Amino acid sequence: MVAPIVVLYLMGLILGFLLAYAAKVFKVESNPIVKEVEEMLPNTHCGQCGFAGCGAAAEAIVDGKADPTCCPPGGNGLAVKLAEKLGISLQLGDDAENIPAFAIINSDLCTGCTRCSKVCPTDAIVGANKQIHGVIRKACTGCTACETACPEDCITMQPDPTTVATWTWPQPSAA
Amino acid sequence: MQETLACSPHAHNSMTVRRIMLNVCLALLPCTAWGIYSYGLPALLMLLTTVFAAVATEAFCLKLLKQPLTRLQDSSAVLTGWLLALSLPPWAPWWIAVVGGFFAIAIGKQIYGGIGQNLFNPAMLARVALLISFPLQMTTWPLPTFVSGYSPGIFESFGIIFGNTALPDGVTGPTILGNFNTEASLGTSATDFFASSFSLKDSFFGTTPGSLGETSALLVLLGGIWLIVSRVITWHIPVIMTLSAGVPALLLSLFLPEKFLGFNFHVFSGGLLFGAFFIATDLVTSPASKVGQIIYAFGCGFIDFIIRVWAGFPEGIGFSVLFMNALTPLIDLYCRPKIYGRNLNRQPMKKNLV
Amino acid sequence: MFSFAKIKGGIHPDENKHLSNHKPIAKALLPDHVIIPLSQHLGAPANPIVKVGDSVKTGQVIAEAGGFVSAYIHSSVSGEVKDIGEYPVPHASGLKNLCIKIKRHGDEWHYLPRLSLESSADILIERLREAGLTGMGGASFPSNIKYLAKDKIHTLIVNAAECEPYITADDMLMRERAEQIISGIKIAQKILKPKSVIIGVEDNKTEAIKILKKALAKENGDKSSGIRRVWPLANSTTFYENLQISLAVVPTKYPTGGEKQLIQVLTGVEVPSGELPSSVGFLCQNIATVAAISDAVLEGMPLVKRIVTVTGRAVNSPGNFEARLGTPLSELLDQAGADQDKVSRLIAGGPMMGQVMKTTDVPLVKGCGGILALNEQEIPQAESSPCVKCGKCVNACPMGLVPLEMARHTKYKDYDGAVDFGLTDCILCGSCAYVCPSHLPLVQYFQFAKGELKKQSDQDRRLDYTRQLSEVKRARLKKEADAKAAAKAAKAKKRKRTTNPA
Repeated sequence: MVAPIVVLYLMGLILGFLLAYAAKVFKVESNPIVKEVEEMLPNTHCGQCGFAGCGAAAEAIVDGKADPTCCPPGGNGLAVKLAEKLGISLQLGDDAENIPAFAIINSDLCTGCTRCSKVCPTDAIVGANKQIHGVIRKACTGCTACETACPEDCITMQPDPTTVATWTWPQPSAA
Repeated sequence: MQETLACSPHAHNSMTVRRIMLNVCLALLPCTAWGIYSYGLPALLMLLTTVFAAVATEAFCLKLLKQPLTRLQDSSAVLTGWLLALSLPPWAPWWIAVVGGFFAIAIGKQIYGGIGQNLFNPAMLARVALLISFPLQMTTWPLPTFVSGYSPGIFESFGIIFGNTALPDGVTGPTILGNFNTEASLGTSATDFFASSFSLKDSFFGTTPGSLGETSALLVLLGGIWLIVSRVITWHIPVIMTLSAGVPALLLSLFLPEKFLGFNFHVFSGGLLFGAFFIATDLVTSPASKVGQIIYAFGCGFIDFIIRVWAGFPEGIGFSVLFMNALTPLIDLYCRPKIYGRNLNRQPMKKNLV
Repeated sequence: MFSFAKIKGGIHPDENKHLSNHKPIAKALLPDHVIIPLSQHLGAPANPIVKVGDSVKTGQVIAEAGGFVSAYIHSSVSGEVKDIGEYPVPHASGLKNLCIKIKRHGDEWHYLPRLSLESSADILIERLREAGLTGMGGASFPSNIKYLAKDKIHTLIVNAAECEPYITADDMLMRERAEQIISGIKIAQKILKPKSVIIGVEDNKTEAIKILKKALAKENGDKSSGIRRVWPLANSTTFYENLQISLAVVPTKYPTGGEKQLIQVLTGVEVPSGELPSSVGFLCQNIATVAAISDAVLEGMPLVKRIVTVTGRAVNSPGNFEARLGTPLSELLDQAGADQDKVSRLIAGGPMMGQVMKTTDVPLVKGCGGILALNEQEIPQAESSPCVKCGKCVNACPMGLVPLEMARHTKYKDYDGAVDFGLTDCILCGSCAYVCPSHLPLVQYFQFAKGELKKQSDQDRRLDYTRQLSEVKRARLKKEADAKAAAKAAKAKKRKRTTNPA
């Protein structure tokens, strides 16, 4: 009766110490997953997530301080992938929040100062000095960096409207 | 003039779940009528009690789950109760009927999430639960009234089902399957038993004791053929299930006639035909693809045969169907149809100019 | 006795073809104005080349192909361009799209130069492009692109199955214009030089088959036609040796007229998943397109009109009309005597795969073979209930998929699961939903899931693109910064040198 108790107790003790030792010796300094997550992000450092650049965002996402859905340019597709990578469940927001938007420059007000094109992370704004600028819709991620940079307040964000080409069937409501 | 958003197709063959269920009920009418004729008023009372218990349980569960009571219209609870009643001894007491009806619907169906979600055939689940819990009541078989000459009147009938009226001597008897198990343990050879006790005519027309709806092979077949004709089921499950019990019986009886009974005995007595046409073909718990159905039907028939011959129970339909029900998701996963333009491994076919 | 290779599954819906197939094709009245969508075909929308106020003739190009897979668009009347703007188009969404609106002043034609069978294959293919030809069976794939794969093609299949219920446009076309069809096939033969040509017709079109056989025999000359086994064909296939054309009468079953199904039923060959029929050497062409090819080449007539069935029980005198593209459906419905109060669903296309139109203002387009005005009794009314796993959809599916599992996975947003059960191979034929006793909107589940998958892949592509752009920008900024630093350093060095005379 006594012998097995002692043996099991000792075994537990020894293995416990072994584990503690292993944890100290094989400690990994930085979390490698942060780097992987950073690579998955768009790396435009647009700041729409509220963090300083994609690196900070990756750290926050891995630490659980930010949701995988926090990256608007990445959209739901990226969120799903991130959630899969980190093994967390995902609360996909309403589509209403995720409507992709793009910037529009009011050509009446634009003075051609090029400030917007300088801050654009994806070079989506074209136009030389003193020329009215235009937005390449395909490249615009709707990050609003230009909106804040514009001294004339002539940039507004417009939601991408649904067209015949982009329309898809809604989910059936029935059973 | 327009409704909001309607997706194609804008045509339908107008089949509904309700119509399928009612069609099965229609197919059950001949053998039910025969059962009530054979076993008199108590049988009718038992049937009504079971159906009522099933429908009441369904209504209660729908209420509990906050689902519309209009779901009752699909008549699936009626059918479940009906099928259960037909597989019970005709004079089973009321509480067997009520417990059975409740168990079938609440535990057999609603607990899984309602219609379409259940893993096991609700009627068979309830039958097996009753058989295990109340073996005495579940194996008390009255003789048909025209055999025993005892036909209970109204008061007696209520007494048998709802009261404690003891049955007079000589109105019950063993089923032929049970009888053989007893005789075999006493050393009677199958050949002798077959010659002395089995009558194909009796089993075919249904004058031997048995469950309420299972006695007459002829009327079960009639209902089954109606189901096939009205396209509620296809021939695959019933035919293969019958053969996979009948053919092993035939082969064994050819080689060892003293120990095993043959094709006619196994196919036409007990619940095999009833199970093959009405129980195993249950839409929800049988595989969806043809190949899957064939495997499933083979399992149902063959396992039933094994249970009848080698296991402690004289009848094994309930067990074999439940066993194959449990395998159905697996069968469905592996027996998928071949996809057009893909090979059997579901990889796209190779481009080659033919 | 040979028998046809069978298609899997399939259904036999009420045909309702008798409503519209007893009257000759009527010429629809020319409309006051036409609305011509710039995106009537698969691929990129066409680019308009006319301005508001321009006067145009019938058959004049008003929009050029907007890409490799795109099509020319011609004016279908002569008159004045009134507007280039957004109008409701025949699309399930009911949304508006870019159209050219033309007010009609007459009907003065502008033809392309006539060609003949002597012209080279390249010139003929170019003609298909100039004439704006697209498949007229529904998918509207630009025809010239199909014919560009001519070297791979060994068999031309002319699709005259017309398996959609109600619709009889191809049926009537065969009855009235058999010669035109044959000359169209000859042109296609000239381009493709196929080993065999098979016309596939469903056996419910007895009258059309009789007329087509007669015309083929006449064209074939005195040499008697025989029965020959070109592919594993049934004995109801007649082979016309001089013409090198076979006419195969196939059993009526929906969806035999699907491209993949027709190839299967006629030849036993399956088109590999995710591939076009040309990958296994087939070119499948709708019979109406074949007739249009004849017009385009021999008459120099671009695709500006088509035959359309206007039918349904909310229509008093259903029939087939030869109408100009861009004609508002309301005008065609009026000419067929539609009773607006009785119409409870208006559909462009057939009842199995057609789309509901929210308004009668939408115009007729190249791929629209039928306009259905259904009354209340004709449309399914039952509400959907939970799936009972009966497997009827599995048996009905012509592609060998498991619709109930696809729908279940879609419901729980597991699109990969739906793909595993065959979502990507689904042709949206609606056979499963037709037989579903629970009346589940199966096709909508699949449309929805396909849409979600498309959105996802679009988003992924966009994300990649964004990442690429930002890398380019950062690289550029770095280079600029380096250059600046280098220049500064050089300047500093220079200054140092000048201030430090030796």
